[in-house]
Amino acid sequence: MKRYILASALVVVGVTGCGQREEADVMRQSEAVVAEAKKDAESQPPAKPAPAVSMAEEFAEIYQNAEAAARQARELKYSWTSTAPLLEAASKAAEAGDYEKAMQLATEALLEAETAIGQAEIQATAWKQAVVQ
Amino acid sequence: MKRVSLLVSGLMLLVSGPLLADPESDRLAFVNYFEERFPDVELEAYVNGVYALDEASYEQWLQIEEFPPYELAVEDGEELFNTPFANGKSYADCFDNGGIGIRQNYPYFDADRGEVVTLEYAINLCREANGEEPLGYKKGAIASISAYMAYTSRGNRFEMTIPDDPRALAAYNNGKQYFYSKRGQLNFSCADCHVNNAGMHIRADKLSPSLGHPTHFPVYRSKWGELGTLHRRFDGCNKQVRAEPLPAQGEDYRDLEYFLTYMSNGMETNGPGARK
Repeated sequence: MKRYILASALVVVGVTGCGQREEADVMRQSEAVVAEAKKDAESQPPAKPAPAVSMAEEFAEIYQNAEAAARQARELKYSWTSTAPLLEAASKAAEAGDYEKAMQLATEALLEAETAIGQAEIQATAWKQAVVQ
Repeated sequence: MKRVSLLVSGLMLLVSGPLLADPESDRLAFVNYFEERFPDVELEAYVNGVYALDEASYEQWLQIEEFPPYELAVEDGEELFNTPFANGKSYADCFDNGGIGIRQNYPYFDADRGEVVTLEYAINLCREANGEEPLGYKKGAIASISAYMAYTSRGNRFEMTIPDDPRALAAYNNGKQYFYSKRGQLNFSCADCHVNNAGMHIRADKLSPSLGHPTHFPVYRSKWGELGTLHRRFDGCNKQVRAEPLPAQGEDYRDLEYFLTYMSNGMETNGPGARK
């Protein structure tokens, strides 16, 4: 019995000892990998920053979209009288260099034109509900 | 199976009723709507527009009619009407009965042209056929000439028939759709004001009923300080709901006039009129 207990103890010590040794190996290996990765990163040139989109370019895109939507609303014969003045005001603000105001006005024009297009689509059938019976 | 077919057909008719209804059914429903809405107003009175609904305004309007503000325009119109074109012909050569007493014949669907012809449109067609420049469609000379022709036609009844031509029915339905479609930033249709809210106040004014609307045009409006045509009023109404107006005497406005006039079929023409 005493020999059995001693052998078991030796096995447990041996196993945990092995586990501890493996853990130490893994840690040493991890440290090596990290050190190598650091060396690689330091040897790479620094990443270039993403190009900034100018406010002028951002405005131009919104304005183009607003103009296209306004044109579509007009083709549908559903244009609003308030949209063209917004586009004109947006254009003038951009010419004056006030791009923040220009973008706000162009966005408003875009929303109006899109709503007018939606109105045309809805009214294509909705009008029938209003007919006097 | 037969019962199912009948049921389906019935349901389809119910759903598509407003589109398939013929013009005369539309007109009867239109007249009935206003008769029920304003039971004390006689049908013939609707040619007086909002003054048929408001006694105080009606009395004021009668006083105005003693010295009508459109009188000078009618005289101008008579002179213009009788002035020959450069080629020696005149308006009388373009119209039935020499252009006298014919207002009630317009608008009509011209099968050869494949489109609705209104009186103002016909005036310019006459001019162009005789080598003259067309007139502007909203005010000025065209309104004066139209006023003179309307004045010679007072008391004549509209007796429109929509011919058995799918193009004519399409024009009528296009006008009907325009009338009932909401538009503009304020999302109003013609019907919203002149059917559903006829007789109600919009700021300080009462909304006129659509029944009888075209009978008194062209009109001297106090707001304009001059005579204007029906299409000028369409233009103004569209702007008031913040919808970009369509071209005067363009296809849509002519079709709208076609629909509106049919709704007032059988009523007397009493133009030119005076309105606020």
